[in-house]
Amino acid sequence: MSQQNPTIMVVEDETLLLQAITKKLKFSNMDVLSCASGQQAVDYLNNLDELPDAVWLDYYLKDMNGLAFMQELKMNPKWQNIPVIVVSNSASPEKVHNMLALGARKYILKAEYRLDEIIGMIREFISDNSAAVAAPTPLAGATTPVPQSPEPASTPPQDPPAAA
Amino acid sequence: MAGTKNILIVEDEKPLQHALELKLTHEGFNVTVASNGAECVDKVKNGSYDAVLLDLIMPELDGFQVLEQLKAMPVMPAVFVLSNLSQHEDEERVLALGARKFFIKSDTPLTTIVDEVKQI
Repeated sequence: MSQQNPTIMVVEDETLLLQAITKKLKFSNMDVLSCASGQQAVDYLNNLDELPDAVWLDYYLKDMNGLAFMQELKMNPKWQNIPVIVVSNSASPEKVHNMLALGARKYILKAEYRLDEIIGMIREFISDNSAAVAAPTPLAGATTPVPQSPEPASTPPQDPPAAA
Repeated sequence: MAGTKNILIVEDEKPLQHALELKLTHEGFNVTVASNGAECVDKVKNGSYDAVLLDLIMPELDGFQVLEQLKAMPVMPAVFVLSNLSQHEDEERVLALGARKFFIKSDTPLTTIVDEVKQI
């Protein structure tokens, strides 16, 4: 694992929330790349010399939804293994299933956790993921199942997730 | 190098700071970086910059406070503000403080920012 701080790309179109998340992540010793739109995130990924350790993705963005963003990632071989954690206000079973099937590693319902708790989960995820990239482990406190191995985008998760 | 323009990037998000630094260096600019507003003011006081790329939300001094200090200097470099803030009043405020242009980050590809800097 690199000695540098982990880098997390936050894609959230509510700018006040984006600022709050960014501030807290920086206080947790993470380098942050804040993006207020999906297209901004794609542009940054195209221009970074090092990819982020994870993406924190709001499902509903002003210019695209989470599925479209995931599809952008999966179409690019360089980006398809970046771990994506969806943090959303909405978690219908279909939406959660579709996002996990596309390779999202976790789906967190915002309303169920305080921001500090979500940041703790993200931090734990990045730590676990960097220690065992080939075999990521489920997060403590997870409300939805995490696929046990990074499968191709077309492979659905083993267990259909329950509604959050 | 004679004729090389000096650019100061003021951005506290290190990955973005680095991406801009690489792109502008690749275009032949002499690039310096600062990670907060106070560092920016210090560098501008003690150096000579043709342009400053300035984030608004930063520790120490925010971009508005930086602009106030730069405006009070005898020679103000061209300042391009980059921000995730997208309120019209933010744009009006930075332009009134002497910024040359206000870019909403989410609507502006990095290549557009580089192209704009190349016009100075």
